[in-house]
Amino acid sequence: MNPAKWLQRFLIWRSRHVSKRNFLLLISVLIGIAAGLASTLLKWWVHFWEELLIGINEDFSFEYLYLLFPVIGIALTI
Amino acid sequence: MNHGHLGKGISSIMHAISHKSSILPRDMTYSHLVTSGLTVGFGGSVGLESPIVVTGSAIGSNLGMLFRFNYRERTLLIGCGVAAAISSLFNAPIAGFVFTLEILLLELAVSSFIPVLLASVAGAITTRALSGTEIIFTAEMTDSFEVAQLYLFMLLGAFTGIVSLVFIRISNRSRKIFANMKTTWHPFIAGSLMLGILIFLFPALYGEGFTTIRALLSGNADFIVEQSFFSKWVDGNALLIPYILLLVVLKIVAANLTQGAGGNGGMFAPSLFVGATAGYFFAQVLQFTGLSGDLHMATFTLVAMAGVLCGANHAPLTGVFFIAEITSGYELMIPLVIVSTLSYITVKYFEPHPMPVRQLMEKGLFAGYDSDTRVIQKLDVRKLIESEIRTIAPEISLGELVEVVANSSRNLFPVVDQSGVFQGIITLDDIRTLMFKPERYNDTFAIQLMHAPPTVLQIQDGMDTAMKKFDETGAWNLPVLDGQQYVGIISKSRIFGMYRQLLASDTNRLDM
Repeated sequence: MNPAKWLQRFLIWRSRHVSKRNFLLLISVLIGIAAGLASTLLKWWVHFWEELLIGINEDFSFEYLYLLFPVIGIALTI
Repeated sequence: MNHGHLGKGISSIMHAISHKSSILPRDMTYSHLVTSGLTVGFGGSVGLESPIVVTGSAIGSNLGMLFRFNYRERTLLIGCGVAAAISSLFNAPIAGFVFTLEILLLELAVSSFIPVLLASVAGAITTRALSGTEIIFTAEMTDSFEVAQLYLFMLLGAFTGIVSLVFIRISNRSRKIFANMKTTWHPFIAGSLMLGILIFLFPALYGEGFTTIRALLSGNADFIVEQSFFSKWVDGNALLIPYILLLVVLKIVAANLTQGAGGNGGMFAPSLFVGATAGYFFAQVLQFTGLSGDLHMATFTLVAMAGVLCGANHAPLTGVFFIAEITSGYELMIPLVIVSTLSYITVKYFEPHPMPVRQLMEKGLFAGYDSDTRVIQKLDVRKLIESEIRTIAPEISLGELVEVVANSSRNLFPVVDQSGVFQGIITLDDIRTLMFKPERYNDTFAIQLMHAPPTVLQIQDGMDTAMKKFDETGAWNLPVLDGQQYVGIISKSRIFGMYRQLLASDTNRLDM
């Protein structure tokens, strides 16, 4: 059975057994957990690049790289 | 990677709530994480709070869609996502909740607080479970608030207000400058190169800048100077004070350069940095000039952070709770409230609208603070037009007109010529006396009976213009034209009906 069918079944089950109000509370907790995971991931991701760049800087001991890093970062963002 | 909806941050969420039925694109749940990590990780001088808030709200909106929640519930779930995002990023559940109210301007009924609080707490618990209880800024609180220092904090409030105002003004100016550049390459090259030079000269501007704030809080200001290009000259003498002031201004510039160049990040963390440096500067000046005795630098640094956070973001409570929570220092409550309030009042006097709201206003997309303005904005002139009303040719006689009147339930008849050009209107009152004189039926014509309406609406008029015209004339019905061409009639009663309907769906009241 495909996911859409399962969702359909779940939604029907939900409307029979769980009130909308309680379901909303449940989903809000779920959103909280998801956002928590997202921000942990984000912190790790930023940290990963910072460490990497500090490492590069130490290897080359070339301070002028600081001129370039933000340019590369924003170029990757765009 | 971010196809078009980049760098708008919080204003894009506000826009989605007011104009896009609280639906956020699915790729928003991860795209801002990836790109903002690159911007900040490589030293972009902005904060992570705006991307994480966008991510959280996209998670809320998309889960809401998946489980078939309606517009009101989806909006509430966006609020949950925003609160949880801030709460988990800074380990500050109350600040997350207040952020949703103050910065997203979400009108929540007391009954809808519970899901938002739940999400906020769940977010904080998740980060704690994964990365431990980490306090972002620690400061040793030696003294609690003394009444004798009240005037100092009042001065600091006004000072942080002015700093916030400078922050806002520079940001508005910079947004305009970057928006006027023609290609996407110009802002990128100009912005990122200038940013690179600034960071090279002043490494304290690298990334979010929390290391600098920590150094200031632990009384280790020399650390900031040490790494700098100018360390030879500034080292440990009176030049430190102007150097710190320079950092205040340059951080604002660097944050705006990062955003203008196309980097992804928010103004929340920069305002913390600006606040910390401004507070440190303020206390140093007082001490250096001998205007006050020995001051506790960390207290002034922290309190000023709240001051600028409040001022620059128009969010008095968020600043207070944010600083209290991230330092777990509730002893500071009274000075925090004093400084935040004064800063907020100062900014509000000169700059009535918060930055995200202003961004929307510049594009004509702001939906208003109160339900009334918001609902009126949502009404669409085109959808309210009644085009099925019987029109009358100018040359028909009174006899034919009476026939039309007899077969119609309306008392208003627009007169339109063959080419569709609007001529005037005839109301039942205009013909009431003549209707009962059959002898006039053949020698009186519509063109003699019609009169000009009090005013006309143009089809491209916004709802606010339409409402103004109705208010000015006191009319119940007004014709709508497209240039000279007749389109239809809009009636007040129809607007009223639609207004009621939308108002009912606008308030975020859930019966909990």
